[in-house]
Amino acid sequence: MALTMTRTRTQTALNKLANSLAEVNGELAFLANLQRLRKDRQAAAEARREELLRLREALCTVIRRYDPELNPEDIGATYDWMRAYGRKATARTVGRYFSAVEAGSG
Amino acid sequence: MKWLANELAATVGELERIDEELARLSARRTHLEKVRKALVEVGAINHVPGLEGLVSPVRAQERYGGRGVLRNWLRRLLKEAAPAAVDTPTMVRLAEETFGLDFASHRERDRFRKNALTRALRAMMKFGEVERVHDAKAAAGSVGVWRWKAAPSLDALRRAARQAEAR
Repeated sequence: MALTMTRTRTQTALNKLANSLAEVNGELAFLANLQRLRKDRQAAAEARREELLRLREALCTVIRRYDPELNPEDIGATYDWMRAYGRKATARTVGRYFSAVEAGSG
Repeated sequence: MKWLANELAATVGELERIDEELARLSARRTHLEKVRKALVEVGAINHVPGLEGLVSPVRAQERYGGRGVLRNWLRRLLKEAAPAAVDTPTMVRLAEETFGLDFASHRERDRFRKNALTRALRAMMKFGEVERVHDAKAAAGSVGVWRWKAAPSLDALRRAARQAEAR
């Protein structure tokens, strides 16, 4: 692809960045709300939490680079990402989620 | 011997300036390294892993203090002058003061007016931010005059709508 001196900033790119950050915020909130996990799940939750915090920092850095006047802290959370595991935060959904997390980290 | 003292003072002063600049550049490098890692990581979650290996470096514009600085300055200048227009020789003079530009010759000043200033104004005109007041077909050497393009008032829009209906 030919790269030029102009760095194209589009609404699509901004939407994508904001959405990615909202998903990360949502997953962090989800992890924070999970209590009474099995010990092995606690370790996996903590590892995933660390990963998400690093990713959140990266997304905030990139959003500020996109436009220094934007405040990434204003972006909330979305839970659309949870649909891949189940429609509600049931035990089955949580199980599927952690299976995916463990498969991803393996 | 006074010469020696003066030379030493100037040399030490320049060394201090260099040290300050090195410290600033070092901090800037640390920050950009963090940005680089963040861009690569965000690329990975957007299904573009190994993005860094796909792109070659591009040395972006850093004149006038950074990318977009000249254009933002033109925006402020024309907005403050609005509804009055500003001619390009005045813009060049103000830019010289603002950015500490030092043109070695009249030709260099003219190159700045044509290449940097007018190019930025034409780009802003394409985006609908400014309008050309002078005749674009005027003889070469004539002065360019530009004005901030305010958003049309409701009255102006109503008038335009009535005129379109009447046709």
